[in-house]
Amino acid sequence: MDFRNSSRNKRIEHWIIVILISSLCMGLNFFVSKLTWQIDLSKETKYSLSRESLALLNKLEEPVEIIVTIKEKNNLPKITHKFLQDLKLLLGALENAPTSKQIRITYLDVDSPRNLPDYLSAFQLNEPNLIVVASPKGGQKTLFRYKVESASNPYDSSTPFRSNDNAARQALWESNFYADWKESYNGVMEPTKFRGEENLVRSILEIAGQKNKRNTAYFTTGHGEKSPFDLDEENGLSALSGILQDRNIKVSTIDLSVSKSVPEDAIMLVIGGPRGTFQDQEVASIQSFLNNRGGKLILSIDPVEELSVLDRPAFGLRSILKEWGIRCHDMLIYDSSPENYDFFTGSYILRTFLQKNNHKIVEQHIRLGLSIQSDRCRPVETLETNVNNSTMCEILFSSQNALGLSGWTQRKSPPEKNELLDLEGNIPIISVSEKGSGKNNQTSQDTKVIVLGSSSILSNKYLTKSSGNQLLAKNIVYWINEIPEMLDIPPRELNTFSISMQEEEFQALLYSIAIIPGFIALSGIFVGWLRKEL
Amino acid sequence: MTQGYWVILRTEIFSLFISPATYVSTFYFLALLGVGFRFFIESFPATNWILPPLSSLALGLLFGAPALIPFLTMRTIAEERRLGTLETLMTAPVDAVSIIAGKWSASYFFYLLICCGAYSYPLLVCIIFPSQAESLGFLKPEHWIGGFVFLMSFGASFCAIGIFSSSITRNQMVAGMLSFSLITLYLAIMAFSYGEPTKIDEFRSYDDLFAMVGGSLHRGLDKIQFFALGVLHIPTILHQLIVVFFFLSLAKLQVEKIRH
Repeated sequence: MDFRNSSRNKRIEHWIIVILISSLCMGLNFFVSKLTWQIDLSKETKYSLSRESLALLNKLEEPVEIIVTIKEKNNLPKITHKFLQDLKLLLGALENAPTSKQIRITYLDVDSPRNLPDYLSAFQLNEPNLIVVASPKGGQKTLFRYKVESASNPYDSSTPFRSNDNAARQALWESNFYADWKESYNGVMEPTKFRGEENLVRSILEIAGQKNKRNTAYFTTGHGEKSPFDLDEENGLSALSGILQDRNIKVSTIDLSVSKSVPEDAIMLVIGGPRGTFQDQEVASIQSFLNNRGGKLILSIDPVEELSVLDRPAFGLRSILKEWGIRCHDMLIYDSSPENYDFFTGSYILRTFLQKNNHKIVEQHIRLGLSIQSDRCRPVETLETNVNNSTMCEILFSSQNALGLSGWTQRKSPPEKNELLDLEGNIPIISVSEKGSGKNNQTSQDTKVIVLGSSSILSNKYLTKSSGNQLLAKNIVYWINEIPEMLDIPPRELNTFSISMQEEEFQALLYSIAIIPGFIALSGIFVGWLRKEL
Repeated sequence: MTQGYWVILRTEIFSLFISPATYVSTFYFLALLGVGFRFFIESFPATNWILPPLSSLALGLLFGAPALIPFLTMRTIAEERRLGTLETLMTAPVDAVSIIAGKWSASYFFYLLICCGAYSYPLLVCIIFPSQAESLGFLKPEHWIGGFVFLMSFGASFCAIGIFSSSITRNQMVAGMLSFSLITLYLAIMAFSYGEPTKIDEFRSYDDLFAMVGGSLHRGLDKIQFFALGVLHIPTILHQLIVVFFFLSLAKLQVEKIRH
């Protein structure tokens, strides 16, 4: 009986020790999983954060959440896999960085039925394939968005076909995470530099660094303008509104005839396709915003059809435009060349830029050969005289065959050129004007004005369909919102691996590889022989 | 204790070097890996492979481990139990820790030798085709170190699993099959959790708990992306050391059970 008890006790003791060892190991695993130590062996520790980033991240004023909703699956395009790998290394380094406030990385599966974790419930995160930087008080900013195209039939000409790889490349290219794209051996554009660190640190500072109170884009109302909240596929400006919100710029509307001045939190005014004229008091408010507060203005105006508004040129905004060295003729651009119109939609295609010294807004269009689509448009020229020391630049032009028709509502079709009043040749359609901060300004920011000769360029009609228009809108927002003193973080060179061996060389490699197992086999035979002999 | 450990280690290494089974398994393993490496080098630009080509060897050795490790470990304790020499050994002035650690170290040493054999393939490319080696990234020492440290850490834990399997049975075939199954299961769980986006700082389900206490079982394979580029992810190495400790402790318990 005693022996039986002893045996049973030993068995129990044995299992208790097993349970204790298991518990100890699980506990150790738990603590180790909290560690984030890494040793970077690469030359110049290129997978760790640069000194510049570390110094900047020490200025954080509140904790930061970085949320990645890209699910790593085997069927993702290769470029997306590569991006995820580069991103993981960077996010790991950011999470471990000795910052003044915590940076937390969350990989989220938005398709999962589980609720969001508590600390993310304040943010709107219901879309896959996003990278979002957010903080409780600073809002959220979308750094990367990649929409998976639903499968379409490549032989069906009525639906545009794009491969997932192509869509992913465009999303990455637009996100500015990669730079210096070069054609690879197989003719595909591949990036050679990773700018993720600069991109992420910049966004983190925007969200959780020193607060910039001016973070709202005000769209004017009261003159028949297009609305930022209008989802209409033709005339709405909701796509532009989405681009602004992705940059953590709030969107609101303002009726300047009611408000005495532009609100303090305004970073920019957007006047999208007005139909009525602005009154003197409204013009004065806009002038004050631009001249005294380093404001920004995006103005898109269409050719005027109604005779009632012709008495106040450019909808009453001529004085502002003149002050900033821009003239906006009340004309219509007429182009007789059918090749400048889209065959299916009839959209006017703009693809003429300056030969050199192009503005940064359209630099990528030139490099990639992208065009911009528009409906009817009007000329937007810069003046030769420099009114208030601003720098003006015309950035997009009509084709050489275009005419700028004055009094176009009265003209016959096809119109005959009026030598005295009409414009001809490459007529500018988008112009910009900017001025560095002067002593009179209350802020240190530059004043920037961009005028587009058609409100359709930034409307949903083209922003949702044309890559050129999307890029233009994004670049306008980047240009308007750029902070010149940022950041001196060097991009990281990407590793590229390739091979170019002939068949004979592969054969030679195979034979040389055979040396190792051959040696093992001979050693085994020798050892076998020794065992037999000795 | 240290002396006992060295005696056991020497004996085990000697027995591995004179065992035909190890030569046969090493020959087949390295031959298959070499052929795979040659064809991988030819075809990787056309695939979705984004890691340095050198890491293909690390992955080949990792996923080949279920076929290799059992040959190195299955006979270590099971054979001694079958022949009854373990009881004799226990009467000598060596404790169970020295026996287990010595046998594990010998298997691990042989495993590392095989890894070195596998890594001599890219070394041959560096010698015979230096320009190709440069374009393939074979001249970056951090890729070599990272990949080898990854293999060392996982190899250590797989050898420990093999030693444990060998300690719980008298039949070396059963021990081999058990270690094959356990290592395959380990790799399968890691492969299934590959890329799972569940890095969450709070417990909301049993999955999260498993992610926290499971160590490298959860997303351990993801870390090849760090090691392959020369970034040593210390928690992964520590997780593997915990696995080594766990299985060697269980093996020690088994051996002590025999002593009593």
